[in-house]
Amino acid sequence: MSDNLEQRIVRYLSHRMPEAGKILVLALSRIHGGASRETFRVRIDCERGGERGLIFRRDPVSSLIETERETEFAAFRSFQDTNVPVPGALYLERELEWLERPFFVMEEIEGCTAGSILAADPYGPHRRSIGEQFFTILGHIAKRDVGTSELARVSALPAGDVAWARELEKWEKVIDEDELEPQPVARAAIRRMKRQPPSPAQRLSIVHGDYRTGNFLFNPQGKIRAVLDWEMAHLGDPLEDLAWALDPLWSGDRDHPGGMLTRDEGVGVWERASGLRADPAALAWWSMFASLKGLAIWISSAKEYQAGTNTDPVMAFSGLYCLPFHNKRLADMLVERAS
Amino acid sequence: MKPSPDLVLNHTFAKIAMEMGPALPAGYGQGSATTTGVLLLMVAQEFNRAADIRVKENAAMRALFADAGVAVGGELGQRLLAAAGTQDADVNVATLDHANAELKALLIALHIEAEKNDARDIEARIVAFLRDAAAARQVFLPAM
Repeated sequence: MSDNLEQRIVRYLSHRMPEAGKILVLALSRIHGGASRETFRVRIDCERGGERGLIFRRDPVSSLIETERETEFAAFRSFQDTNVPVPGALYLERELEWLERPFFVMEEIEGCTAGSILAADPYGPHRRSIGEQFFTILGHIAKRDVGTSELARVSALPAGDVAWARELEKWEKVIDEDELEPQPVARAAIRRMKRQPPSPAQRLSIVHGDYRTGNFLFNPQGKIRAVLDWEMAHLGDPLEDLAWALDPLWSGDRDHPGGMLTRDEGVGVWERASGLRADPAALAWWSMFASLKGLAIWISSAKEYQAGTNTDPVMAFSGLYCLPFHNKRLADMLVERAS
Repeated sequence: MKPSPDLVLNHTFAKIAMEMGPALPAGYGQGSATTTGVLLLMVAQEFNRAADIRVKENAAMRALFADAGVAVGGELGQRLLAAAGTQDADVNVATLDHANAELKALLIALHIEAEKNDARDIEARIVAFLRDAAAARQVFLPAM
């Protein structure tokens, strides 16, 4: 990692934390996988306050998804000191003078790891316990009062009967703009979803937008310590998050979404925690939407890689593996609903 | 071509993902090395089948258009019949992809027309084609 970046970080932190006195960077490394942000782990030693770990999330030159850092920062802030574990969100920086691109700073959650979607059994003996926590936390996200949240300041609240339409239009537009070749499966799915919309949202909630294996940290004892990657957070139908969490892409074990509980078990835990009902027909609609949204994201990443604007191997992986996966899942759904 | 390209890619995947990657310090470099190895594994799968998949898809769409063109009629029907009479110029993947894209754009138009006219037989054939084509293009990865 360049000394230049280290010096810039010291300069920024000294500006933000004058009370800390002299600041030294003990370690600086980039974290793999953050294709929507460049993520750096920074270990610092402060003259007053001692050692601490920080995470810097910097806007990329281009990314899997075009997102607003304000949204992600506000989402983290919406769950500080609640029963939804998140890292402390410290500073949001829009000025370019510090790290050339906007960024925000969070507390590091130490001694934890994230599961991999390619792992056969990402949680080992903690699979059930983590699964119950995972769907319980998602239920708590759905229960959070929207009106008092910081996210409500930066994300528009849709009417309950059109939350689905707003999201569908958003991702249809992504496909319109980014497809490199015609997408007959996606187009058929979009038409189907418009013809057969879901029932109105039972309540409008904060939607994480990417709640899945890989986007939370757990400790060696199997306790979930932090929910991360809120860059697609918005206000909408909480079933959107549930369907996304249940999508089979998130685990090689197709019978246990995310490598945790069975689908029915996960839905049951979520219903108890949220106090909401996962209407099967509405959840089926949102499941189709989840695959379409995934497809749109992978189409975008393939375009970025093909254009050379982002050659991170994760972008190519998304286009080569994830895109055909969700294309097939959507095609299977079209057949099921046609028969 | 020996060693065969898919074999080279598979062995290189193993070298990168199992030897070189783990030897790097944990973090971005190690993760990227592993992902790069996995990319080679996927490209190896695609190498042998890419032309075959596209030739079969294009032939299936042309057969569908030959049948549907008469039933649909009008300007779209003429376009369908014209497309049904085309052939792939060669079996280079880029050439096949170009034809594939043109045929898929027409397939979308046919699908919309079939839905509008409640032409269930045509719709069922299209959906079955989409399912089979999507299944053939899936990439499989070992659990890691």
